Amino acid sequence: MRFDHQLASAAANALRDAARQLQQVMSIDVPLGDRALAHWTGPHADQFRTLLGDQRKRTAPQLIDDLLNWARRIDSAGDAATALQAQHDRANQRWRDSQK
Amino acid sequence: MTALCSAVPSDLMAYSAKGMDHAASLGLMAKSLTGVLDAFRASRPDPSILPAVPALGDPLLRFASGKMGTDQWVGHVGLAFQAADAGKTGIVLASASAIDGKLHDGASVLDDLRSWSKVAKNQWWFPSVVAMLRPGGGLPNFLAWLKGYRLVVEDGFVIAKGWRYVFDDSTIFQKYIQSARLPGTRYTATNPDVLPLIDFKAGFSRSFTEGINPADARFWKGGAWIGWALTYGADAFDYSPWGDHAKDGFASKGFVNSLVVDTGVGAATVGASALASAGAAAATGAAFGSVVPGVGTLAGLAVGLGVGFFMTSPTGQHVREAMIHGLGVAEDWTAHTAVTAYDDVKGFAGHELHGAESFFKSTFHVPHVFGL
Repeated sequence: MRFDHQLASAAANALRDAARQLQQVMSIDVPLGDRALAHWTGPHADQFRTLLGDQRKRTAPQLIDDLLNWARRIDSAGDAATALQAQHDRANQRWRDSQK
Repeated sequence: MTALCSAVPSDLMAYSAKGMDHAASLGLMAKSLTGVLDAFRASRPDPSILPAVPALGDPLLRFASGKMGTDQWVGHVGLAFQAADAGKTGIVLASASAIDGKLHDGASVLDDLRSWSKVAKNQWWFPSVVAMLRPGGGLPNFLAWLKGYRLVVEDGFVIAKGWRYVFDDSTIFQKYIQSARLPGTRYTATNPDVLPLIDFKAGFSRSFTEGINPADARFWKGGAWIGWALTYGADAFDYSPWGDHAKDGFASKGFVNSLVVDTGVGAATVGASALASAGAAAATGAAFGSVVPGVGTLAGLAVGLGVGFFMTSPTGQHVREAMIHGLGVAEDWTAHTAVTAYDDVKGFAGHELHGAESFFKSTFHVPHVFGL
């Protein structure tokens, strides 16, 4: 069974870091965007309101979910790989013991 | 009736500046994530344990690019509101068509600046023009030569002969012509004031130094700083929020590599111009029996024009991009790399100087150029 725990851990951490950074960025930019929109009226304001709303409600949360979801899946796969490897090791040990 | 709209420009621009900064950092994060996930995928984890991990750096990069575009546009709208109210602060009320007009004007100005930034880099003919026209430069020297002013090498001395005096009632043109005259009439040939005029190696050394060394007063007086300022200024604009590489930003490797490549191109061009300048001066001096001022500057100008023309052409732009991309292959830009690059430039200049000196000595059959 092939599974590189070190690379898996790096990938999961990178996914979590990216999700964290995106969350942080949105937590600063959305209030700034709201402030810009407070006195901003007209067609450009409508356009930006739609874009910012889409980022806030759809694209950014979806992206953060995907990143964190895959980080969890990689972590789980690492756990599963460790458990499976232990099973293999025990089976091999039993086989070696039976050959003595 | 015209539709009205309003905004607080400073709020829009504050959002824009912070948002673009964030978009740039997200872009860098996306690239880094792509690298880490690629490495993990390349290790081929057992598919029964984990299905193929999607390239999640890509949607993050798309998000960052889209955000960059939106945030940049918000900044432009902010500028348009500001322009519509002549820079007043607070809530600005304007017609929608007026804002659209200002946005269009702003976009035109930015387009012009982007075009300018492409042609402003590596234009080393510009400093040469300044060096040619300025008081004490190549042109007044050449005009003085036409009026009989001569620097002649005799028995290890350089003698200034001919019309070389300025009087209180001299016209501005006369003063201009005489602006680069030597104050004395007789110099030992090794005098640093005249040696660069008559010796190829010293001439090259002085031209090269005044082209690249800000500690040399002639770097500023001769106009070399203009070439560097235009080049670095255009690079900085490219990676500013309004340039073609806004999404990369100043913290990117691309910006550092652009500076490195343009520094190399600049140093090589200054070196080639200095070679042409010193070589042309030597050649004409040997042909006429005295220094012909201005010819060297003209030769340097020709080299600068050639390089400038090439670097502005599609081929030159492609070569420059390839060099920048080539540097990008290196994982880290370190001080060691900088030192190596500097040594390479120095070694190149030294090698070329030696070769060119040999060429002129053998061509003119003199132990030193001008027979010293």
